[in-house]
Amino acid sequence: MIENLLLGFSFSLSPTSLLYCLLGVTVGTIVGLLPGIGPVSSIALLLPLTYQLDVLPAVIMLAGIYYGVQYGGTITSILVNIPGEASTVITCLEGNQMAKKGRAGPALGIAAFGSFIASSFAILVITLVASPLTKLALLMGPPEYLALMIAGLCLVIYLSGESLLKSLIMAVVGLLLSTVGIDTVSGQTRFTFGLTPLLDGVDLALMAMGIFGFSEVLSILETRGQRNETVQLKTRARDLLPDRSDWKASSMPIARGSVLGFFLGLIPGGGAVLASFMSYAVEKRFSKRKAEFGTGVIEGVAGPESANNSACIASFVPLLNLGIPSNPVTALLFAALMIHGLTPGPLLLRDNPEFFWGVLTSMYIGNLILLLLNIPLLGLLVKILAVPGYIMAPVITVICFTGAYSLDNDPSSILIVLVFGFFGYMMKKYRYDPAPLILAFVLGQIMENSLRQSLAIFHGDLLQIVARPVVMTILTTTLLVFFSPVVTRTVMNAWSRRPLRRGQGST
Amino acid sequence: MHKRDIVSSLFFLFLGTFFLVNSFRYSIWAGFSPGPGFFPLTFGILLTLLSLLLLLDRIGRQRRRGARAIAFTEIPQFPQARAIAIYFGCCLGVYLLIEFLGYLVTIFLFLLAALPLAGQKSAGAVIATACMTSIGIYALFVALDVPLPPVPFEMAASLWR
Repeated sequence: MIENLLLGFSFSLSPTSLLYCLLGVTVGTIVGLLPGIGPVSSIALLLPLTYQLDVLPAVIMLAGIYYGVQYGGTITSILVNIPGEASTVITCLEGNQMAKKGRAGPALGIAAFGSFIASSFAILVITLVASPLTKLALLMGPPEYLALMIAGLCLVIYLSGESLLKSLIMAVVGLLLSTVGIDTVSGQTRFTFGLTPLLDGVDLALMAMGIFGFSEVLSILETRGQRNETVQLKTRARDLLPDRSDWKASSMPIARGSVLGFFLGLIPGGGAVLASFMSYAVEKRFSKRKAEFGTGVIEGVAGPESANNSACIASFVPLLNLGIPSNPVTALLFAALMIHGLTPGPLLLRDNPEFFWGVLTSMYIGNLILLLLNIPLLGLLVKILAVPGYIMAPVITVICFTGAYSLDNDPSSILIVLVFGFFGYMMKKYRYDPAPLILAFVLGQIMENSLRQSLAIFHGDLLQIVARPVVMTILTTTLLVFFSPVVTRTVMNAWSRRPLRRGQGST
Repeated sequence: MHKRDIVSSLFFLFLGTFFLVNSFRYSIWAGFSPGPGFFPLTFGILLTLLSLLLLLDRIGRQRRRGARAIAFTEIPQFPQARAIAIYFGCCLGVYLLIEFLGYLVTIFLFLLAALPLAGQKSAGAVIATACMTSIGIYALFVALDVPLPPVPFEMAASLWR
């Protein structure tokens, strides 16, 4: 393990890697600060900029954006009571109350330290489990992978959006879009309508730029000319350090948040948002001062902030070790790796150990930079919030178009962004969650190949595939989880009707 | 809520049917494994069924509620629709003109139109922001070695030729 870490640090401590790590975490912090722009849209926008880079600095920068966002979002949640990012929504509850009581410093401080501790914990666990997990993953064949992908997709559908049916529809649309382009087996073109840019299929970066980036521009335009409330922060760097009582109250929430976040980060669809909400619920349950929750309790900041960072780092495990992205951000990182000629999965660690350990060790460095960046530069960072929407919207549009155009110097890429941007805007209006669509789109192509390989191995007998013990276990568990609300509701209804029938019979 | 879902389910019903019908243009099964039409057919059927389910469910709920008048909030609101439509038109302009006018001129003109639409009122600020943003982003991409042809003023170059 020590040799692996040393190998990783020898790559991640190179000047180029350090520069891109700094760039990534800085962009991530800024993106996290600005409400409305999430990690998915920023990674999609910056993806074309990384095409000319080597794969390691490119992924180090994109990963830095992802975990940097969690830090930046906290600042907005605590100081302005507007979540900069979905995973920091819950921090508003206690963090902003603390700020109103004049304790913004300790809230921001404990969030930054908690995030750092949780991230370090998650990175350490990944370092320990990466090699055994990869050995296990190498034992799996195409049928097991197919089952895992189905399970992952079902969990994302189950956990996202307000309606299961609408999330299912989104996932199926994503699967259908994944069929566009040349069929890898027969060589036939499918649904390209004679358009050359569609021959290689719909480009994930263009789709993400449209759905997450350009659609956001159209939403910003709805609040035309409005200016974000300027924040005045009168906190000095040394006031940000939590005192002994704060540390005493926060140490266990940080520990619990780190562990909980890590496990939830491994689950497809779980991720940072679910982890922060779960952690808040757990802290409220374990706290000796439950009644004070909602009035500015530091445990309510320490737990969720640790959990979302831990989950964010943990979501790299399914991506790098199994080759299965578990959320839209890791789906984009998956695309970035493929563009650079690396296939995420168990073979990545075996064939490109310098890349795997380089990315992992860069996270240690990135989190340290974030801690050093967040505390002294907080006053400066907060000023970014004053950037008005009327400047942000056109600038994002130009970055979108420039990135899209630079992909293959074809204006039709801009048209594809516009089409998906309009689609994404309408989805938002009609309350459809785009996460299942993006994930299904990425998984669709791999699922189709896995199904074909599996059927070829078992001479077209689907029953033989399903009957494999691992496949059967994964699919049964998925079905149980997926239909658990229906089953629970049916059982509860039957249970509630039972005494009523008895009562009716006796009269 | 229900009205909103009825409209969207009709769109997805159309999309599902489109993929379903067109999937028959490809072979569905070849030897031991699925052909190129298998996935579009399967997911086309699934999307059609799911959208039908959503449509029927929402119509049923609407009827059960018994209210013919739909609350105003149930239909998606489009504030600033005119400005958004013009903005979208300007974006289409970028698509049409970028090859002809070159990157810098097209983006500068786009920003001149887009900034006031987004709410920037001062003419001086519009020109300054348009200049700085177009040159800044161009410089950033070029500095990072990302190819951004055609070069500015491609129009002049083509006229010269």
